Amino acid sequence: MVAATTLIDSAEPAFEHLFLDEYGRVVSVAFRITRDAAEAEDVAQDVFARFARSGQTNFDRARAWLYPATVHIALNALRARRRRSAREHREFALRRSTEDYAQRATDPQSILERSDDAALLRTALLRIPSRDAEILALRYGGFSYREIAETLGIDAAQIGTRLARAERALKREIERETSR
Amino acid sequence: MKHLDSGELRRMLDEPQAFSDQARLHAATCEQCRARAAIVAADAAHAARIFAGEVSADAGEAYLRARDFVAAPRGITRWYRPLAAAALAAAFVLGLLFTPLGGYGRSFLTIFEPRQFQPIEVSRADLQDLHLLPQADDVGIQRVVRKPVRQSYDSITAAQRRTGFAVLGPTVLPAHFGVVRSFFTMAPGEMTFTFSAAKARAFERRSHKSLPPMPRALDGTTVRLQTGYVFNGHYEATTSQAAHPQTTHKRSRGTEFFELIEAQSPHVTSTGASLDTLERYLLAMPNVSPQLAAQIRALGDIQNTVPVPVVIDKQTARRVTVNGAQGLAIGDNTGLGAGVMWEKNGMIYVVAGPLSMNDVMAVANGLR
Repeated sequence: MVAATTLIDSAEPAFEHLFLDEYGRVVSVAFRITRDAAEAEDVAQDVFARFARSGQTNFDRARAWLYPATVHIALNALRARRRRSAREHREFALRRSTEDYAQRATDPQSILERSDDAALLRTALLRIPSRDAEILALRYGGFSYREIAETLGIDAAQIGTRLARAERALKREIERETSR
Repeated sequence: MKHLDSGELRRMLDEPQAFSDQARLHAATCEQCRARAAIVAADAAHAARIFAGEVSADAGEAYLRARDFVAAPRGITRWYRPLAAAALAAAFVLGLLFTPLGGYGRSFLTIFEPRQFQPIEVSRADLQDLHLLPQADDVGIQRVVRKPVRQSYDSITAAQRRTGFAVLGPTVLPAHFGVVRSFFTMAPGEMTFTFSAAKARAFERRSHKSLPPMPRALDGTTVRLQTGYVFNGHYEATTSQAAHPQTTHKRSRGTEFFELIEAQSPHVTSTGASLDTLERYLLAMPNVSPQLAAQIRALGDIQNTVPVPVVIDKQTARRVTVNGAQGLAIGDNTGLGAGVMWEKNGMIYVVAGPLSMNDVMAVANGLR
């Protein structure tokens, strides 16, 4: 294993090159999941920091590491956000009377928040299989079929099938959420 | 021509040039394919709408931030050392806190002997909340009856003479390992903790925090923790950096290592209140989340189960077979660190470090 500092010292030009080349797309892929630009940048920083610490020396295969890691870390960020929200909601609910709570449930702002596309998408992405979330984030993050195939190490001919399945699953989850 | 499948129809939306003229013509004229293409297109349009949005990022500025962050001093140990000591930490701390909590309230005197490890998912928020729990001294009296003494040795053989049990040594080491290593033993220790309602009330007055009322039967109950001999082997890789004293600073952050722990199973005994009472009281503490409490309650064989916290978005856990025993493997999500723990013949074993899971498992399975 190579320490992060060692990697930075010994392979800084390669790391810098990789960073400058891929950072924008890493942010874009992360944004498909987080729907929050600042959070997407945080995810990207985390991804590159982990890459540096991972001691990887084969920069030619870096993209196959970076983008799955981006999706993984972004989904984890969503999970953390959801848990925070749930905790805050619980604490909030405990402090409110049943009447207040009922009133809040029909509050237009609450309904608006529930129907917010970003929130719906985040919820759905955590419910569909992570491999579906992965291919959706890559495709709508700007990857071509060939690039997705190279990144995920699968045949390009399979991408359409997986993408169609993922889009179907996403739509189903969002419809289920909005019908509640 | 045969009909196009949904994958082909989907790709045709994005990359029609990837298909032959014949396939495109078929897709445009075949009613069956067109009907299915309409469904696929509707799903794709829905996804495109909901994923739409641009985000701009200044890679140059971000690189400077990333470089500072990556190069910042940071302990390489992270959670590996705590994990390496998990057999102790889990048994000593969680064991003390939670083990008497399960449905083992039938006997007056309870004995805890770990036989298996059970992952408990905790969030970072859970961990932060647990730090807000009252300290042990706030609700009772701790007493170290016998403090474990640590001693270092040059060889496993010498350490083994001290522990009295057969220490297993690794027969398989990851590449570059083998020369830099050190061995330690811990002598048996004993600690007691006695619950005190008076102290709990004093804490409430002092801190203006509310604790669950301590049941009368719990007031005065003593929990006793006894540990046996512990062996700890610390193995480091021999790197080129390690050979150069001037790079000591880097080596402290960059050296690969792993910890091997072999410990006689600790025992926890309890007198006074039933363990059901203990469970209700401790899990009612503020800052113990309902999810965490539910997981603790759901542990099956609590008398023999060590709950091992697994941070949800940082670590993963899976059951493994190690040296013929059932164990629990914990991995860092990034693949940068791993650990495995198991119990066999009254001994607890842990191998952990900033290595891949494969390396850790190879070391663990190679212990002889």
